Amino acid sequence: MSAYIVRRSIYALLTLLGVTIVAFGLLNLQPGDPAALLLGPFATDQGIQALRKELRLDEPLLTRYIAFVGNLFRGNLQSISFKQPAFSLLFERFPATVELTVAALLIAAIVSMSTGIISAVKRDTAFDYSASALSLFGISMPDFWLGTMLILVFAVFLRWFPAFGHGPVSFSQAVILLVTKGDFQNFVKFFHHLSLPALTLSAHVIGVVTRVIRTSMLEEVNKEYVMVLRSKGLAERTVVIKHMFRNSLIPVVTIFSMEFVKLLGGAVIVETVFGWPGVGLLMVNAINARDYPLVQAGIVFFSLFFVVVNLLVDLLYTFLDPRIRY
Amino acid sequence: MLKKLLKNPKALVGSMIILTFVFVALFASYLAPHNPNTQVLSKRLIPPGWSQKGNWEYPLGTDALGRDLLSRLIYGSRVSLIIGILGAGACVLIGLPLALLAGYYRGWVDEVIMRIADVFLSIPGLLLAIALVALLEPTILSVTLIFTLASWAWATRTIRGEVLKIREIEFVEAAKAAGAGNLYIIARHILPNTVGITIVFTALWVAIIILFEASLSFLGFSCSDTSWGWDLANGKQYISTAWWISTFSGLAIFLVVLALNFLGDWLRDYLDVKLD
Repeated sequence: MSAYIVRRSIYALLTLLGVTIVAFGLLNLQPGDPAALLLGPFATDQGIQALRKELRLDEPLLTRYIAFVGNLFRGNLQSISFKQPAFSLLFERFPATVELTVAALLIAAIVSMSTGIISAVKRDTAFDYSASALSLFGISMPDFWLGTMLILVFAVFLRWFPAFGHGPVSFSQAVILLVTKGDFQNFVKFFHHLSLPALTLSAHVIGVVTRVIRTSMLEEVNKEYVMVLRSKGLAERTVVIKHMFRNSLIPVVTIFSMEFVKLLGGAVIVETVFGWPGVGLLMVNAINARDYPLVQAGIVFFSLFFVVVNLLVDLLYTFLDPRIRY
Repeated sequence: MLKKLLKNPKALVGSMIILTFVFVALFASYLAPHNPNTQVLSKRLIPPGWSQKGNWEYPLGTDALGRDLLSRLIYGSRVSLIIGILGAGACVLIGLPLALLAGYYRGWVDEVIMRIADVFLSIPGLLLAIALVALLEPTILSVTLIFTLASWAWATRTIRGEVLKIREIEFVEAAKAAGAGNLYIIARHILPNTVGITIVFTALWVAIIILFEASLSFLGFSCSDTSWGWDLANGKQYISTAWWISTFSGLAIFLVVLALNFLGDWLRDYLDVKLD
């Protein structure tokens, strides 16, 4: 077991090393002068020379790479447009992205677990067919279109929800206000703003996870233990929820962790559609402002997150299924 | 195969939508009622033909520059189709050989290939793509290459899983015992058995790349002046006054992606492939 953890951790470190090479190569391994590219078509020669000096472009590639990694891990990589360390900007915006992704995952978990289980139990009924059609809709729906349509219907026509922005307080602030001052208004306002973006982000996950849960449950249906449990007189509910569902959880956890990470990437689009001030929107703005140090830091930040989540999920397996030993 | 396809409603609907889409893309210049880029500023934001202020000269209405939306959607199908096919093709072209090598030889070859794949699997593909495309000017070629770079690892990982299963089947061992060389075994025994998963992967990946291209265009990096994602993004600014622009361009993307998923699903069942 511990040898396995060590090996997995080494892999994780190797992956991160690779990601730093990609992030560095993004600017430095493509044809063309990075300084000229960063400054865009209206750059002056002086401007380019000054930036070349600032980015130390006249030094050898390897020296620059080592300096880049050094800056990255000391948190010294500077954003060009904000004139601030890139990581502090990322951490500042991260809570908003987490609010959005966790909300989307919660919606997806509730909807897809119930639909997936019912679909498997009532296999080949009208419910099953419509659920599977709807999951494919969710998978095929471009999130920027769904977001725009939700804005059109619920913000423009019905005026039920705001079309844009995050609202005045974050989730933690809203909770603190609620507990300390009994301020219910800000709490409601937070969810009012969160609803449409979270719903948009959850559609794809709902589609994917519902299908996985259904398939995974169907694999359990004909197993002998299910028959034994039924013949010993357990209620159908207990058989399905406590035994079959629990045994089908491994692929579900895998897909959830994969989707969680994909959601962080998907947040790039949804945050842009709804003007949600998270890491995704920060990245899009950084790219438009040609603030590449910030983009590089963002790429490393996202992968760091991905790698850590994956490592944790692998460890979680052993708790879910005690038969798994590494 | 065709008989079975016609009997399955999902597959039938899917392939009909795809055929229509290919037909429209091929004959865009005959089908489009207007030039997709001609701006008639006196005819800005005309609603679709059936609405009260509509005009059947512009069946789906016009955009903010007075361009015919239907013609733009017809021409936009070309970009989606070309990038979808080129991108998915390139991913498989790179992913399949790497998967064969990694899955068959195992050992250090596998380690090296899969560790590099891990790096690309851990970076959000869309973020990498927009970061690159903003630097390199979007063209059909650059966008295709960028998608390939951002997503070859998925092809490698998916197909490698299948290769690992195939190499454990007895006929591979029998071929080895009979003295067949490694390359011969790969070409003659492993490769033919990966055809199923490769076909299913390609069908689903065309859908993913079409979504990818639309996302990129939506964020403002379009490699063409007629792209569905681009129209959707432009329409979003007028969402409160002109609902039709974003609605129809998004509907086009949705229908094509849905059709490819229908077909991919059916192919998966038909070819009996397990995709995780």
